[in-house]
Amino acid sequence: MDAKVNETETIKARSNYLRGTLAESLADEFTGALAPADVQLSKFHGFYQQDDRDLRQDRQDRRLEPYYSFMLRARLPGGVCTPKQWLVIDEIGRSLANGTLRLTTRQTFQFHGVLKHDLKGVIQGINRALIDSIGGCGDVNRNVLCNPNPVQSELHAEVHAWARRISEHLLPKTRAYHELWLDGEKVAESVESEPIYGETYLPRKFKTAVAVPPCNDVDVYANDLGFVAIAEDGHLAGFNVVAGGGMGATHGDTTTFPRLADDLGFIALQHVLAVAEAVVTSQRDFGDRQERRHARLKYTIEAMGLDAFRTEVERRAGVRFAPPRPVTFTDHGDRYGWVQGHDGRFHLTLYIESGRIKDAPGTTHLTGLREIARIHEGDFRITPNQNLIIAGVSPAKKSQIESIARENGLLANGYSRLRLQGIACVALPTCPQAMAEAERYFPDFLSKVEALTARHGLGDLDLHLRMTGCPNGCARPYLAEIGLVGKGPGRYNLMLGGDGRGTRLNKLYRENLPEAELLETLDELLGRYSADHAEGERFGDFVIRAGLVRPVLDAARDFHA
Amino acid sequence: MTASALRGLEPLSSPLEEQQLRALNQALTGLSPVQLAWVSGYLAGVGGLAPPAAADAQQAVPTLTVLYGSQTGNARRVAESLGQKAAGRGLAAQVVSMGDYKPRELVRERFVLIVLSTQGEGEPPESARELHGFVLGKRAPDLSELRYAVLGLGDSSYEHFCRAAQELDRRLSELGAQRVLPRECCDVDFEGPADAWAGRALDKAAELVPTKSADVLTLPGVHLVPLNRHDRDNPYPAALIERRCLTTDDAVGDVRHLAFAVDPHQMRYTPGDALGVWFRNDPALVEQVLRATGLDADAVVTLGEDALSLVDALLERLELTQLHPTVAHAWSQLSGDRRLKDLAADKARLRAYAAQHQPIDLLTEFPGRPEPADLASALRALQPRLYSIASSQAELEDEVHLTVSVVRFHAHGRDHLGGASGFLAERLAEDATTGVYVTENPEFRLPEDGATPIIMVGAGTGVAPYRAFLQQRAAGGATGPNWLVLGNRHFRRDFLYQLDWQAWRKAGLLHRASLAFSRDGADKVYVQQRLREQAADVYRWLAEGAHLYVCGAIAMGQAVHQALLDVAAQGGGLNAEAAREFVDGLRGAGRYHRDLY
Repeated sequence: MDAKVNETETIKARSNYLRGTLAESLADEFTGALAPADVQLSKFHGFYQQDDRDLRQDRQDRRLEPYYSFMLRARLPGGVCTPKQWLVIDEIGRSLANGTLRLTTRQTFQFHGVLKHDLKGVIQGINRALIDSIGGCGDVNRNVLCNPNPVQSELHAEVHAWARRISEHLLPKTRAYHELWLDGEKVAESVESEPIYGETYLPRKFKTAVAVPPCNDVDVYANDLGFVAIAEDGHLAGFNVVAGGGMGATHGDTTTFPRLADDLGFIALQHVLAVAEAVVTSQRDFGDRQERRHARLKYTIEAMGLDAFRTEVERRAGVRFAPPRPVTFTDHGDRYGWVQGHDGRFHLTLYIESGRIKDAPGTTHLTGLREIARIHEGDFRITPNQNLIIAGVSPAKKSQIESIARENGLLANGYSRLRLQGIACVALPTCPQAMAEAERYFPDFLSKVEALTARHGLGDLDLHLRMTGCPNGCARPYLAEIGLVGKGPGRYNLMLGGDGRGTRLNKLYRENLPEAELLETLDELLGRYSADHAEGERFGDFVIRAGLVRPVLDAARDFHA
Repeated sequence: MTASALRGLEPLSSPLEEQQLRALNQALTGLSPVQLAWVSGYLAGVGGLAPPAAADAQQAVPTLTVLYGSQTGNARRVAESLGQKAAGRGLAAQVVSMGDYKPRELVRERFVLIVLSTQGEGEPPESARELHGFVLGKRAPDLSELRYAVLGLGDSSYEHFCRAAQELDRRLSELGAQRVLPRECCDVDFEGPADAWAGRALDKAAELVPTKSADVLTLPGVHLVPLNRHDRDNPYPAALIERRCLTTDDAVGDVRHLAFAVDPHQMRYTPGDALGVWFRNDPALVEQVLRATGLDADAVVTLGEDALSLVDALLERLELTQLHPTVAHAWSQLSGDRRLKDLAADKARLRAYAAQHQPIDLLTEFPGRPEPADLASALRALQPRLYSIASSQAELEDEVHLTVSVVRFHAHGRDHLGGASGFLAERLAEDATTGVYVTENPEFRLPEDGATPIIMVGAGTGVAPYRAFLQQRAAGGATGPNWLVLGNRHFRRDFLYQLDWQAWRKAGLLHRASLAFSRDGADKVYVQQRLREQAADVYRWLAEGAHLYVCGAIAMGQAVHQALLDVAAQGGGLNAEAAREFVDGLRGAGRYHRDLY
C-alpha cells in the first residue's frame, strides 16, 4: 500500500474486515473508551465514541478519564419503522442510553450516552427488532434517505423499496458485526471478502438519497449519490441519477467546499443497483486516500471531470445514461399536521425540536410516542428535517392518536415557520467535532430572530435557517437561506443565499460573528429585506438580487471566491 | 565519652574545621549523659556509619531486648523511645519488631521488655501473631532464664482491652519467666503512663543487667531515623500546595487528594508509611459545644501545664469529633442525667453509642451545665489522624500526598463532619500549614528486590499506598510485575487516581489490573471476588514469589483473607489445611502485608 495513505487507511487495511481489536477494547474494564484504532473501526459498526465535553476539564482535575459514552446510529432506510420497532427503540433509549432519542437529518435515530459495556445490549436489542447499525457511520454507504411522501402512498411504497434495495446492496459483507455483537460464529479469514468495498472500504463516508419531486426534503443534491424519482402515471418509471454532492468543509482551507451533485442522466429501474455499485466502486478506486478532507466523491469528480466520471460509471455498470428528465423541486421542508393520502389513510407530521425526543415537563414526547406506538397500525417515518410522521392512520384511529399527541405536547401549534423549518445538529456537549453550540442554543437563538422578524413587520416569514456547531454540515447548513456554521465558542460564520428548495448553495457573508454582531447583522438584513423585497421574493433570493452575496453556481470556483 | 572529653579535641585531631568544632562544642554544652548518648547514636545514624564496635556486637548477646508488636505505629514508637533511653543509660539494647523476630530466640534472651498493642477483637497486631501464637501454643519452651515486663496498648472502650498483652504476660509467667514489673495497660492516651513505665522498666534493667559502657554505640536493631526530627510532639509544619477532589459530585463518598510541601532534609518517608496529621476543630462545632454547655468562650482552663481560653482548648487541644466511651461516662456524672447513667453502666451499649455519635450529640441529647474545667477534663486530648501516604520521595522528593475520605454524614438532627478530614477538605487554606509527622510502617514495604512481582489489593482509599509503590517502582526502574486489584463503588464516579493507573499501564509498569465496582451492576462485586475469579493466576503469582499487599477497611481485609484461602484451595488444588498453611507461609515469609483500618 502507498506509504502516503492516511492513518485511517492503515487501520482499515489491518483491521481484518473491521474487527481490529474491538473485542479486546470491549473487554477492557480499565477505561470507558476504545483503543484509538478501534474508535475508527467502531464507526463502521454504527457508533461513535464521544465524551461529555462539559465535564472533560472537571474530570481531568479529579484524575478521572473523560466521561466516555457512545452515540449509536441505526440503519433505517428511508426512515421507516413499525410501531413494534418503535417500542423497542424507545425501551432501549430509556434503559441503555441517556433517556432520549435523537432523530437525524439522515432519517434515522441515534442513541446517545450509551456506555461501553451496554453497546452489545443495544445492538442485540435493536437486532431483535430487525434493525441494525451496520454502516451507520464509517467509510461506507450510510443510511439511504428517501422522501417519506405520505400522500402518494403507492408511489412511496415503490420508491422506498428502492431505497431499501440500494441500502442492502451496498452493505458491507463482513461478518465482523455479527461476530462481535450478535455472538455469531467466527468466520475463517479466507472466507471473508468485500466484493464491492475491498478491504479498505471507501476513502470517506458516502451518502445516498432518493427524492420524489417536487419535494426535496432529502436535499438530494447534498448527497454523494442521488436518485430523483421520475413517475409516469403515478408509477415509478426510473431515476435521474446525480452524483458528487456533499456538505463538509474545513475552516480556513479553501480547497474544501460544499458542493451540489451533478446530473449523470436518466436510467431505468433495472439499472439502479448496477449504477449505484458503479458509482461506489469508482469512488473506491479513484478517491483520495491520502487526505481525508479531500476524500469525498465531490473531489474525485472535480479531479476526474464530470464527463470522465460518467463514462467510468457507464463502463462499470454496463449502462448508458439517457439525458436527465426535467424535474422541478419546490421546497425542502416538512408539512406539519394531518394530511390524507390517496389511499384514504391519514398522516400526522409532528414537529420535533432539533429531532430530540425526550420527556420534559409539559412535553412528554417520549411517553406520547410510546403510547401512540402501542395502538398505531401504520408506520413511523423519520423525515430528513428531523421530524416524525405518524403515517397510515386509519380514520377510526385518527382522533385517538391526535388526542394522545395533544396531551403529550406533540402538536406544535403556534410555532413560527422559521422555527418549524429550522434545523440544528447535535454539537455540544457530546459531538467531538463541535466548535460551537447548536442544538442546545438553537431554540433561544430562534426566539431572538423571531423578535427581529416581528420588529420588521415580516409576520410569519417563510425562511430556512440552519445551524451547525462545525463546518462538517450535518444540518446541511450550506443549503439554508441563512446558515450559521460554528467557528468557535459562541461564534458563527454567517452564510446567505440558499433558495429554499435545496438547489442552490449559500455563501459566506460575515465570518466569526459573536451573537450580538450576528443579531445586529440579521437585524439590518431583515430590515433591508422588509423594505425592498419584491412580491413573493424569498429572503435567500433577495440577498443575491441585492448584491449582498454572489450566487454559487460552481462550488469549486465560486464558493470561496 | 563526655562533653568535656569532646571539648578537649584539637582541630588537628579531628576532620572538623576549627569553626565547626566550636559550633559542635557549643551545641553539646550542658547536655546530660543520657542526652549525649542519644546524640552519639543520632550522629552515627546521620553519618550512615556502620556500628563501630562490630567485633563486640558479634560476641555479645544483647543484654536487653525490646520486642514490639505494633499496628498503627504507637507501640513501635514507645519501643524505639525505650531503646534510646536504654542506650542513654548505657544499656546494650536491641529493638525488634515481633514480625522480624524468630520466636525460638526467646530461650536465649535474658531480659525482654515487651510493648504490644491489642486490636479490635482482642487479637494482637498482624506482625505479632506468629510470636504470640508461639508463646501461647503447646510447643512453647521453658523460659525460666528470662526476665521480662509487658506494656500493653489498647482502647478501654473495647471488650477485650489489652487482651493480647494480658495473654502474653500471663503465659510467659506460666513458662517460667520472671516478671520484673506488673503489667501496665495503657488506654488511648498512652504517652504519660508508657513513659512512666519505661522509666520503671529501665530502673529494673539497670539493676539486673550488667552495663557495658562501650555498648552505647552498638545499637543493632534500633531504628534511628535521624532525618525525621519531627514526630507527633514536634510535628513538621507542612504547607498545603494542592487539593483536588478525586470523586465526582454525585459519588457516594467524597475523597480528596492533598499534596503538602516538605523539606526533604527534614522529612523522609518510605512507601507504605503513614502521615500523622494535626488539625484544628471546626469553629462552628466549637460554637455549638459552647452553646450546648452554656459556657463562656473566654473562660480559662488548664490543660497539662498550659492555661488557655476554653475556646482555644476546644479548637486546638480537645477531641470533638470522635466520641470515646470514657467521655460519655464522664459526662454522665457531670450532667447527672439518669438515662445516660444507665447507658454508661452498660459497656456494650455505651460503646455502640459512642461509635454512632460525636461529643456534640452527647452534649445536646443529655444537657448539662458543667464548669469549664469539668468539660475540659471530661473531653479527651485531640489526637492526630494517620493517613497512608500516596506518594514516593523517589518521584517527588519535596512533597507528600494523602488520599483522604471526607467523613460527612447527617444523624441525630445535625450534619456531622470528620475532624481531620473536614479540616483538610474544607478549612485548611492552600499555602497554609499544619503539623505533620511520618509514622513508619515497616510491615508494609515493597520487596527489596525490584524484580519481585507484587499484587496490590485495595478498596476505597486503600489504594493510596499503591500509588506510592508504583511511583517508587517507576523511579527505581523496578522490573517486577505489578498487579493492582482495585475496588470502589462506581467506575465513573470514584475510580480513584484513574488517570495515574492508566498512565502506568500505558508505560508498561502496571502489568495487570482487576477492578471491582460494587454498585455498577445489579450484583455487588468486591475485590475478593476478583481474586477468586482469577484464583489460578493469583496462586501462580504467589507460588512464584509475589508479595501480596492488602490495604483498606478491616472487613475488606478479612474478606480478602478468606478469599486467599479459597484461592490457595482452587488455584493451587490444596485442601483446607494445606491452603491455610500456604497463606500462613506467605505471612511467615514476610510476603503477605496488611494495612487495615
